[in-house]
Amino acid sequence: MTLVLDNRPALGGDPGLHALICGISAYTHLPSPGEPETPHSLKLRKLASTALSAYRVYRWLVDRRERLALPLATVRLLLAPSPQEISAEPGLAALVGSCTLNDFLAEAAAWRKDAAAHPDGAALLYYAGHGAQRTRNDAVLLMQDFGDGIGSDLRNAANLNSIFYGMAPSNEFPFIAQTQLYFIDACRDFLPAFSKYDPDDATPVFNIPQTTADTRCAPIYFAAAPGTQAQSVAGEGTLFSRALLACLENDAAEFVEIEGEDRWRVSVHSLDKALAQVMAGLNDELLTAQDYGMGGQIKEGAICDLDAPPQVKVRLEVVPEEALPLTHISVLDEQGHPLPPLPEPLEPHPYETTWTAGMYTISAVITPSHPHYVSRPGAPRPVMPPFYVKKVKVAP
Amino acid sequence: MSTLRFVCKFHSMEMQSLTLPVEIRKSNYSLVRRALSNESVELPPGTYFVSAQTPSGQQLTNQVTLGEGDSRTVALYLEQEDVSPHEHEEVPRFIQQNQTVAPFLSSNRVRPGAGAGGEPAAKGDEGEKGLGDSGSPLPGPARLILYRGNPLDGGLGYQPDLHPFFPPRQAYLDLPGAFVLRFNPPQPDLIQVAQPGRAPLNAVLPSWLPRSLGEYNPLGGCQVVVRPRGSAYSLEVFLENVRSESLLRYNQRSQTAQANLAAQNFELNEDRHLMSMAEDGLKDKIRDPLTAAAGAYTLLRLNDLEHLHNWTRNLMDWFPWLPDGIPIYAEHMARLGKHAEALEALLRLPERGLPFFSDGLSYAVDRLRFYRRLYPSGAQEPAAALLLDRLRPYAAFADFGKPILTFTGDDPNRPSGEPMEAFTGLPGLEF
Repeated sequence: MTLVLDNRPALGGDPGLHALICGISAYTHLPSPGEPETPHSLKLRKLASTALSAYRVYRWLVDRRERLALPLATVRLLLAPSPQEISAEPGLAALVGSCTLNDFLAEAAAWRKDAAAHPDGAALLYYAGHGAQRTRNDAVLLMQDFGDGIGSDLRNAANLNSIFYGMAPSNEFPFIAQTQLYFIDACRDFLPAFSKYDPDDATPVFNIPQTTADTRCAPIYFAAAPGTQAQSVAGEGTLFSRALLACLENDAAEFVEIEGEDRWRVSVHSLDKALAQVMAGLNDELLTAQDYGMGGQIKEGAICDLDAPPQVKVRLEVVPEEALPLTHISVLDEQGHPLPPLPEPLEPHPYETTWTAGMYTISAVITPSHPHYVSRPGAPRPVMPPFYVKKVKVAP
Repeated sequence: MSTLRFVCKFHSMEMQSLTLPVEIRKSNYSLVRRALSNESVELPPGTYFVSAQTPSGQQLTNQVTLGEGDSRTVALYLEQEDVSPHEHEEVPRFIQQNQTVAPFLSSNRVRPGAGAGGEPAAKGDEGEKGLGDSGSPLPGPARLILYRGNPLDGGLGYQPDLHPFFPPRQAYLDLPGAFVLRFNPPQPDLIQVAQPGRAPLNAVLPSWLPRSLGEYNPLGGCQVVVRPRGSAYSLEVFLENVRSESLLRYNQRSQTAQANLAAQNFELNEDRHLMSMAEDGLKDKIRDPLTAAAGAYTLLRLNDLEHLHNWTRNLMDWFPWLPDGIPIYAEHMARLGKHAEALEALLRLPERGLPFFSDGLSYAVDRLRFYRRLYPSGAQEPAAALLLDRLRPYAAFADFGKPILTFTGDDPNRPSGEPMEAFTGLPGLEF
């Protein structure tokens, strides 16, 4: 199953968003965890949740299509899930396919052709699977038939570089979509085994065109910073996909005035900023060390809107902690209305809660008075997603 | 309408000299304008919440109410908990350190089963962020080694006579075991931290010494910060000039909206103006080509070709000591579809050496790969292949997360990821 959504007839030539989504867990020629290595596996193994992550990104696009900056025109889906993923997500069963090199090359060509129909259109690529670093903006993406032992070991791998430059405006594709979003959910460490290969042996996805002036908005959101690994939680998805969906759904929203109307919107820049923060939060929660990174051409542009104000994870901390029994925290919203009382003392400490995004005034009163501590009247402060941390300092 | 100006309340001269990106929001916090702290902004009467963000992520804020026809300056203040305890620590705290990525660290929320492919994951040695270091013991002995020369022409060699070139070590903030070395031109070209059991870290040392300043340029050098991260040392290079450094850090820390404004501020930069005038006699008036390079990389990342104008050619031609002039010009030309000019420029890189900035290496390698495929039988193909072969190992072992080019390898002429077994006989400063 590849072209899973085709809204082109309804759009009648108007610009739309064309998505190519790939998720590879079931690498045909790589051993499962715990199995012996194979001659061409380069110490890589089958993955546990990358196809599931791609499926969830696909579902988000389809379910939230009304909120996208452009109408959803086409979705091409290449999923190679593991049996465990199909068990965990029954919706995957009907979409099981393959993502071999040939599959990917064919669908990428069709995707580019669609994206080349209108300069005001948009293209989106989400890839989840094995990968490796080449440069800050480039990576090698390993396809499902990687490690089959036929030809060069990197034959069944694709150059991101060739995709990025192949999607640039050119004499062949002068009207290609000027907004292109790339999400590469893969490791970017330099595999020691690759040292004996020329990474240029990886297969170019497109012929390199004679590109013309390239003014694209074309950010590349990399799950892992260069030289580092991407992580996942079996049955739950990759860290990056979890962060990405949280950001698109809530955490990357910023409140902007557009043509006199206030809107909660996710943009290229706000997504970048929020992904860095949400990934850091996930690292802390899961004790992982995955650094998100950004490449490509990072022009500002709208991605989607929210239909309600986002929620913010809030953390309140009294400093010094010894003042906790005497410190009473009160909070006013932007209309000056008090929020429901917080526990007194503020325990568990630091105190974590969730508020709707907005302006809040947080004050601390010391009762009974104490010579070492002072009350702190608050001032209005923005409490915006994804996180807000307030250290209420009551030492003079 | 009313007019609003801004002043950011720092204590140090360096921070006061910096132009910060400012956001102006209505009282319900919807974003009305983004501006720069040295600009004046026309606004309708009303109450506004104004904030500026440092490159490290701290916010300076205030609220202001404007009546019709008012002309006011709003002072922006740091939150009390963010105020630097010492004036001399403002630059490390507000520019060099990263406070943006992990503002909401909960404790003790360990969940089993996290990791690639379901494997348990462990926090790596480089996992710590921000100012807070773990209380673990310091790493084992390490050695600093200095190098001079151009690795692209095989001329990089170690510096045998260390003492004139090693500046004194200074404590870095209050971090146990961390220290800073301040290099001023003329200075070595590369520094290495070698630690047995680890792949040695190498970083280029950018410098700029204009003829007019003779033998010393306090803003033309860099700071090298060495600090423990778990059982290893990390190495980070910061430019001495805070304007350059702030541009780089906004980029590095996913503050693209701020980077966008900071890059636009560069449009007002006098050096940028002089370079655009394309008169060769103006080149001696350029005050800081390193800031120009940082500005150009920011504009390339944002694909703001309009603000790149015509000055990248002069950046390349006027400063033959600056390797980054070449990849900047080449990438600019490539984006404009002028590929012959781009390739011709790139092939001159070996004369100058490794780019100071990791973006320069990345752009050079990406475009050389592109041109080898675009012109597979062109007259320049052998030279392009040779240069790509020389650069590719640096790209493979570079830390592209750092703005200044940093890579691993015992011998900086041959990057690798191999750990060093024991100290070599090269002269170095042990710590």
